[in-house]
Amino acid sequence: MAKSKSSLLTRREWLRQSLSGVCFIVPVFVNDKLGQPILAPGPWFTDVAKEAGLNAFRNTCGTLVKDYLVEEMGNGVALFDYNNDGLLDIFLVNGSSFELLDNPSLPRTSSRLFRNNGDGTFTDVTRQSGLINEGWGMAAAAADFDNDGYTDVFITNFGSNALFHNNGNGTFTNITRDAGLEGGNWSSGCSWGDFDGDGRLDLYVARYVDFDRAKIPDPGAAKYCLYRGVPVACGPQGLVGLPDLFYHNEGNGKFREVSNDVGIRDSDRAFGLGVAAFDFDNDGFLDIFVANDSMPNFLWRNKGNGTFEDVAMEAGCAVSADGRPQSNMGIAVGDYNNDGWMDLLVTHFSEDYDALYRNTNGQFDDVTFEAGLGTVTFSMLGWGVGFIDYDNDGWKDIFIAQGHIYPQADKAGNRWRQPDMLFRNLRDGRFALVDNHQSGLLDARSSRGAAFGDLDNSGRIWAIVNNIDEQPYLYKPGGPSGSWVRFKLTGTKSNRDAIGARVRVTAGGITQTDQVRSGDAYFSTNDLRLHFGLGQATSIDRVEIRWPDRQEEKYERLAVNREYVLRQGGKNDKA
Amino acid sequence: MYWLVRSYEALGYEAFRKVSLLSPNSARVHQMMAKYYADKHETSHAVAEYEAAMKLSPDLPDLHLGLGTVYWEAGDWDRAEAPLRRALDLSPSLLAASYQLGDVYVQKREWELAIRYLHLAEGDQTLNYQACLDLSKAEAALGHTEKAIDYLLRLAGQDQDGEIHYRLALLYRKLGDSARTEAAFATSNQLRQASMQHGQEVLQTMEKERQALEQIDH
Repeated sequence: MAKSKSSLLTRREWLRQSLSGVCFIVPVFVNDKLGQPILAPGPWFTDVAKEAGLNAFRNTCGTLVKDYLVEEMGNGVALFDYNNDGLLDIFLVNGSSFELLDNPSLPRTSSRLFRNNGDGTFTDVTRQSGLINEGWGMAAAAADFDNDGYTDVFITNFGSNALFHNNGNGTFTNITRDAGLEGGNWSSGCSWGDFDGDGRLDLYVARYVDFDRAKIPDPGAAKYCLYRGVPVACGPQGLVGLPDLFYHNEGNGKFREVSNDVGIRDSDRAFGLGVAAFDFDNDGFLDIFVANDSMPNFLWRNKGNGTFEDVAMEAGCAVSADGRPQSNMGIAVGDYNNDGWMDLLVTHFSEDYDALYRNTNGQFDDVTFEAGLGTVTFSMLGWGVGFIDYDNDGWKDIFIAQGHIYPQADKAGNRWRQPDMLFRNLRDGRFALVDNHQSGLLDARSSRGAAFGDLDNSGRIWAIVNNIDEQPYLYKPGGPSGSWVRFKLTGTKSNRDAIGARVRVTAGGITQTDQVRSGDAYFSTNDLRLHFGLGQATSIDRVEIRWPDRQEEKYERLAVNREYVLRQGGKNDKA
Repeated sequence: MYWLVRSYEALGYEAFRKVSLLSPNSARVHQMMAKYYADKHETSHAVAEYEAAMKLSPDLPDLHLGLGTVYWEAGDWDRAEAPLRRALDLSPSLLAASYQLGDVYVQKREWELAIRYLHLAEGDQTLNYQACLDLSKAEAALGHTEKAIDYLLRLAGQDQDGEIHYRLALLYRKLGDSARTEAAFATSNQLRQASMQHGQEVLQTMEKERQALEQIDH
């Protein structure tokens, strides 16, 4: 992650670009046709990590001083139901340290799996589950790669990656080597998807920097080792990147690296971070967006036959509206303006804005400043991010996890610990920052990965945030809510998790769109079930599903405030 | 190189010490302190020093320009506007103030005002590039796509990393000119590749210099 973007610009340039918008702050909300609460009482979220038992986890990422880039990038979090009890469990990815890597006799750190007890508390089941990743973890993407009905987990590491197969009895087996997914050096974001329509989930793994500690200059020793004149860890600029990896699922528990064969040619060795697989052009084929740090992003368009071409530049999401590469990190995918096209929000370094790319007919426009997100995100450094409808009004809002990359930021006019931010969708293409007292995002830590999902099946979206060197946040939702609906999709001809399926819900006069994704945001996996806020709607007019194999199904006149379990080509059940 | 830096440092320090001794509470000393704080991104201290200086010499235009610049660089457009206007009132030939004021209006999306001030700065060689970029943005926002393209075309020869051609491509697409859109995207990509290559070479050179300096130190 780079201080690059500011260093590439003149001071005038970055200021002009960053501050050409209006910041909307709306502390009080008014009633309207879509059932908005008269007053926003707040807080919308309350951190309950301690009460939930998650404070047993404390993130480790190198030393507190952080002389190396790898110590600063943090880790993701994944929400998935590992034991099929109908409740989302929490997997917090953990880092490590060079001290531990150099001394195998010292006790290891590990990522942690917390079982949801169904009463608001969680139990650490890492040891008994065997989901023990003692490498320097980065990202986690959870999905049922072998279609056996149990969710497996892929973890990227600084070092060898790890694939854990879910045995179906609450335990996992590390099958990385047999699967051929070790990767190497420094992998970052990852995402599952069936890109060739064979019913099996393939895997995209972004990679960041070819990192050799012995060759990394000391903080302050080179141009790219300074932040506002203060010595900091070097990179990624000045270091060499690594090409991303694309694995085809061969169907027998084995994967084959086919990047070049399918046209994924990362010849510039971009510094890849976040990855999200979604269908940007609504052609029914799953595409891949990769957030590249300090370099133009990739948008790998699926040509429909399992091969790809990078169209990011022409599609308008490679660089900022001014043609400038930004320090791209986290990715939110969602149709925030309910026009049926999936939009993007990409988080960036401080002294630059988080970019909102509006998608119209498969063409993206950087509308950050028109949306009111330019000025307000300018001094902050964003990582995990999600389009979430926190009040169930039918319009997707924004949550951003934040924290500076450098502990030394405190000496350079910025802050290492930053509060996370919540933005309310104003339904006219703009967003308003929700005051921290109303959002409930009061504490300031150095946040990294964030994941979103309904942890208590109450119809509200929770947020969990992995904070570097500290305990996580577990944000429980509160405040008034509209009605809602949730869909758990099960593919039969398509992959069992239905990753890539698109759902359109028409209720209360609006049509919302979302798509099932695994591996999202920054190094994280959200609830695979699709959640829709419905405002004051008392019934759902229509639900249209396009399965990953492009088969379409339609349901009409459904009730609200419940979860539907929908099987491809089969009878649907209410949970 | 090291001794060169040390020499300039010592000369600067000595000059500053002398000025401070001669006139410790002068506008110029406050101005120098303001500049020092501004360089360190300590905005509030910089503002306080400029304000102290302006109390002593309210009609020095570069004090108002300095204060405006501090606000401008901090992105505080509302506060930047008044001192920049005052600087121009006192000295209409201060083209830096014209450019910054024009830029302030770009940020505030007051396009006509922006164009008025940016036109003044356009003639200045050092400000021309930034002014033309802003003018292009303002004209494009007003729907004057052809004018916006004209400003970018003036800069096309200076495009080192593909940004100008990327903007051109977006404007050509707005006009529905797919041939020129494609060509501009292609040029932008070529320039970006070349820039990245050049960046790598510069880094390698810097690394070699760093290693050489380390050896000299040893």
